[in-house]
Amino acid sequence: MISTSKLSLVLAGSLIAVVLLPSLTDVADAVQPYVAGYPVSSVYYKVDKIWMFTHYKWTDQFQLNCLIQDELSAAGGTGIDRTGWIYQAKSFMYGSASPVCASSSLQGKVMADPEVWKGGTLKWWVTPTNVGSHTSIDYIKQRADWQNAKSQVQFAFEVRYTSGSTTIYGFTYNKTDYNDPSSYFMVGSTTYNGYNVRFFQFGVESYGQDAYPAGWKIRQYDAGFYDSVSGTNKYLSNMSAKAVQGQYAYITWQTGASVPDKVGGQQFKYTDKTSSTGIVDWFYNAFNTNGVPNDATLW
Amino acid sequence: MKKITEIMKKYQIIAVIVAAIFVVGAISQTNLALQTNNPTNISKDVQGVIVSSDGMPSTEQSAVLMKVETEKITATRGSTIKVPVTFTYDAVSEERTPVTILFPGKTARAILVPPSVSEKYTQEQRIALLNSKTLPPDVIDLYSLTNFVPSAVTLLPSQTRTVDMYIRIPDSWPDEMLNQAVIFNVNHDVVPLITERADGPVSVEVVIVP
Repeated sequence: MISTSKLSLVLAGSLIAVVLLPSLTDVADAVQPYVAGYPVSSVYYKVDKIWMFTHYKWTDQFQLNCLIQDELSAAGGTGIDRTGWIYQAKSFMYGSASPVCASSSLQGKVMADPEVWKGGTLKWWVTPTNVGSHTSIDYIKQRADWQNAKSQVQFAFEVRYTSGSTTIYGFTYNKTDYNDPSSYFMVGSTTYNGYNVRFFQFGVESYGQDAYPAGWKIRQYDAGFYDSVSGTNKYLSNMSAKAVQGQYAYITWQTGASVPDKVGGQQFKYTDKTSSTGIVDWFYNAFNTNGVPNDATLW
Repeated sequence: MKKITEIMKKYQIIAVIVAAIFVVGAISQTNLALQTNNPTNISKDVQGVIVSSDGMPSTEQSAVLMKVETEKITATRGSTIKVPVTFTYDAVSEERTPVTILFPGKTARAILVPPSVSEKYTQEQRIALLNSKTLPPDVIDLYSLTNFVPSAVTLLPSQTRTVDMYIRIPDSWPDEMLNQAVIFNVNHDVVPLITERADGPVSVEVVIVP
């Protein structure tokens, strides 16, 4: 009997481990499907401001599983080197298809959701802010701007509604609270240990590992940045742009690290795009198994 | 024969135990599935991801969960609306440090520019309003219309408390913004900033009528 009890304990332990391990593995892997565009250019080390325009009005909320994220990301820099910090002027939209990730009143709504990261650690965020129904929004200008003698980054979301009114949402990140040595954003591409690193990316990201939400279509357009060296606005429509899939979406690196950090980290399958100069529409395509080809030309 | 019967009995016991374990396992999986479908549990986990070679994100998922009972309200000019908001500290451990929720938060601002006014300003000028201490009279500082009682609450792990958000609709509310839904988000800060993600959002849609 004693041996039977022991056996049942062993069996119970094994089975509980089998039941629980997959969810722990999911968390530990922490990768999500992501695809983005980036300007093909040499490196700008002193960028004060970045922006892009976007909207979700062609997304079918009833097809959209959980949510889809719409991101403008840039690496931080000292003016002569990267720092390993990353700034994301980001929004997302909740859908109504299973798995549902929000109450019914929030489904179909767009949230402003800026974030600051250092490597794989989320350092600063705000509670997502409801900025309205995706069909009521004509466009959102998502912007990040160094301010107050470069002690702060202000994330601004200018939301223009189809009614003609505008609401501007602002969120302020104080770098001194986090010992963040950055004073600039960085734009352009370089290589590190043989990896292609793109300091400035505009793209879309899923909500979870191996999760491929349906029904979404997001336009990103008229992205640009302010180069403080030349004192001019630079527009991505005046450069060429290419696509990068999440498994290659390296954006910066930590000092001494052998491998750079990347956004998302996983290939965003079932994605497609149409693009013209300065404009890209990313969308779900159930038949495009491998998604937008890595390194595809956007314009 | 007796030996064989005893062995069979033993195996029957083992079979029952194994079956019971499978049932428990199935129930556990059902519970996991239910948790996954629970909006509160999922939304607190959702975030962008940066993948680093030298460290993994925290696997802990504590969060401050928020809820409003009424999410759509109609109000008249000159009225004040009371919206109870509940906050729950869903901590991964009872030993976690208490958190304080401060109202209003310091990091956010929301400015409403009515349609006729919107065209008076360039896009840069509109965004620059975020940094203006004194706004033009025809522009509305949405967060200045809200007030919270109490102005701070401290939560122990698993504790829930209610804060009343009051939204004041001024007499001067512009005609062109009547009968349109205006979103009021609960503007707050969590101190100390827990390393995990705060849940959200919590907002109320108010349609202002004459």
